[in-house]
This record gives sequence, structure tokens and C-alpha cells, in this order.
Amino acid sequence: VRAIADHWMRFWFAPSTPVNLALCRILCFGAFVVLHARYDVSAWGELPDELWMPIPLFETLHVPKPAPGPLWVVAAVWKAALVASCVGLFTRAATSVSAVLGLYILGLPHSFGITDHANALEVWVLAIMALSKCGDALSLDRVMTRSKRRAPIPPSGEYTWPVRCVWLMFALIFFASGYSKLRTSGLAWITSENFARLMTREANTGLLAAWASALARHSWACRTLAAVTVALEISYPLTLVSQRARFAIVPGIFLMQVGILLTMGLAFYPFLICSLFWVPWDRVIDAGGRRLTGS
Amino acid sequence: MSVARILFVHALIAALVVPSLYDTFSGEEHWPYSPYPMYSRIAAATPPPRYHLYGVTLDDPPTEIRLPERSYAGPLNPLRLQAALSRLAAGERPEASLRAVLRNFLERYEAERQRSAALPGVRGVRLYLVDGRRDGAPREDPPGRLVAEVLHATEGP
Repeated sequence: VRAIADHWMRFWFAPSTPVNLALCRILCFGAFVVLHARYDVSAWGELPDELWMPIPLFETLHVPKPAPGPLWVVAAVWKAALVASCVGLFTRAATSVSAVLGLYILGLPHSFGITDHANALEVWVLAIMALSKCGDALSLDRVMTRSKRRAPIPPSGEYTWPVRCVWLMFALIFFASGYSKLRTSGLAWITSENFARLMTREANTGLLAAWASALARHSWACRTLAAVTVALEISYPLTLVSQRARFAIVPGIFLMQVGILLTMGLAFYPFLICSLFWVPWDRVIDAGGRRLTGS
Repeated sequence: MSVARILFVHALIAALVVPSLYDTFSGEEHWPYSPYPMYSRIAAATPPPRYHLYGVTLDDPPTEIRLPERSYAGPLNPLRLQAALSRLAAGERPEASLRAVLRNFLERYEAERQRSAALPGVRGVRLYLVDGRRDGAPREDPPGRLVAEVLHATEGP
């Protein structure tokens, strides 16, 4: 029991430098800024009241259907908060605003017709970053700190647990996705013509949609890909305990999502962006530095 | 790290894990928690029926033309539009709800037409439920089952 407890505490709170978390902050928030730069949030307010079908969270909080004008202001504040979070300006406040308004803005589309699953991970990442000390390094806050207080920041578990929480959400989400397939359809999800039909949907708009249609003629290939998909998803929690599993499953799922984008045209950009949390940036920088200096 | 902070992180982990697993094993949806059921059902051999919106042209006699979804339904994507119309059609007072939605779509189409000369003028819109197998096939007359229509932007319920 003691060994398990030690392993648990090491996993979540092993001291690490603030650079890794700070780079995750810069890259993820920067990518979110680009992703949402042209997103016209106020357009949701122009839809008729009859189409407002609030998700349980909004229903519980009595969130009304938004009007276009106020929604434009909320979106502008949110986007400014994303930029401030990226550069680390008033980081604690900026990441908190990003998380709270993000929950609302990213939840809006799900209150019109159907709940999809492309952006829930983004909501969790915004919340985790708001609760973390991700602005301690590589931030304008740090630059503006008086120089005598700007001593080197010692490694701490504060910079480890947020990254692990994002890993945890990846594991929970993909396990749920794999489990849903087996619970709803059983092994027929793999052994039937299901995957071939997904590859030949008329709605597929990916760059490689024609190639996917050609692939669908080979049932053995479709069944193999279906089996690999379910196996990767169901086994995703292994990434939390095994480095070997991490090396196989994380890139596998990343490539699967790129494949879905290229064939079906379904873009899970927030997942691709949040995959940045799997990269050990401090080690990448160390290795890069050593290569540059020849040491 | 302080003990209080470690306890706080454990509370956060529990708040992430427990509801997530509840939704996973119950199949219930409480966004942002979810059982992530996307594409978990076996894809049907024939596509399900779809709602198509047609504009009634100003010609004499009038004809019907399929309106591009981006000209009236934004920011709803096709999947969300179909799901929303299906839910309205299956809900209470579907006729009144669908006509209200069509009036909004007609107004938005007219606004879009002011910006794009390529879009023809229409005197109204008709919503059809079309057999999924007919997607992309030449138009039949009528294209499907008429679900609702609005022939003037200012028409009452």
C-alpha cells in the first residue's frame, strides 16, 4: 500500500520545473486564440428562440438564450483573456476569465440541437490551467516582477499536477469513447461493415475522402482499422501508468484524429492542440540546447 | 506544496474522475462530462431521412430551388441543423415551432441575399423531409414529405 501511495504521489506531485507547464500554456492558449480568432460567437444569438434547447448545465443555472449584442461583448472579453493567458499577463485573472467564459461560449453550440464532443476537453484544459500556477515562468507577470523578487523558481509539484490532470482527461475521454462503442454495438462495431460505411458517407469532406472510399472496398483493412481504433481507445488509461503504452497510444490516437480529419472532414482541433501536454518540453529544450552547444 | 493544496488537487481529481465515470457507465450526457458516444452505433446501410429547405421562386409559375444551408442556417452546421429540426418535429406544437424557425430562416436568407447577388429572390420557403438515399440525386417533384412552409416573411402563425 505504501508503495502504491508513493507511486501515486510521485505521479501527481513529483517536483518539476515551471518551464514545461509554462510552454504548455503559451502553445495551447496561442493555438486557442488562432482557432477562435474568426469564430463569430454572436451569430448564435441570431437563431430563433425555438431552437434554444439548453444543455442540463445551462438549464440548472437558468442561462437564457443569448442576444447577439451582449454575446459579442462576452466573446471579445473571452478572446482578450485567451491572449492575456498566452502571454502571461495577469495570468491568474486571465486564465480564470478564459475558463468561466469558455464554459459558456464553448457550451452554447450544444444548446442548439445536439451535443457534440469536439470541445469538452478544451473546457477542462481551461479550467485546469485557471487553477494552476502556469504563469510562474515565461510570462509578462514574471517580467514585471521586481528584479530582487525574481529569484530562480525551484522545481515543485505545482508544475506537475496540471499536466497530469490533462493526461487524466485524455484517458477518461478515450476510454469512454471506446467503451461506448462496445456497449452500444458490441464487437459488431469491428466485424460488421460499419467502418466501411463511415468511410463512404456522402457527408465526408476530408481531403482524402476519395482515398477513404477506395479503402472501404477492402473489408479486411476496414476491420483492422476498426479494431485498432477500439483497442487504442479502451487502452488509453494505460498511458497513465506505463511509459511504453504512452509512446504507442498517444501518437496512435493523434494520428487517428488526423486520419478522421483527412477522410471524414471531422475536425477535433482542441484534441490535437491539447496533445501538446504530452510533450516533455523542458527535456526537448534541454536536448535542443545540448545539440546547439555541442555539449 | 502545502497539505491544503494537495488536498485541493485531490478534490479536483475526484471532480474530474467520478462524474466522468458515471457518464461513461450510465450513458448519460452532462456536458462537459460525457459518455462520448460519437459513432458508437453501427452506421445504417441507407442514410436516414434529411430535412431540406427549398425556396419558392418569384417566377410565374413559381418553382422550388434547394437553398444552400450556409445562406440561412449559420452558425448551425448540417449535423446540428438536422438534429434541431428533428427535435422540433418530435416536440410539442411542432407545426408552430417549425414555422417560426422557417420565418427566421427566410429573414436570414433575405439578409444574405442582399449581400450576395448570386442568390435568387424567393417568395417563401418549404421544408421537406427527404429520403436519405435521394441526397445528391436529381430533384423529384415533390422532393419529399412537406413538413412546413412559410410563403411570406411577414406571414403570421
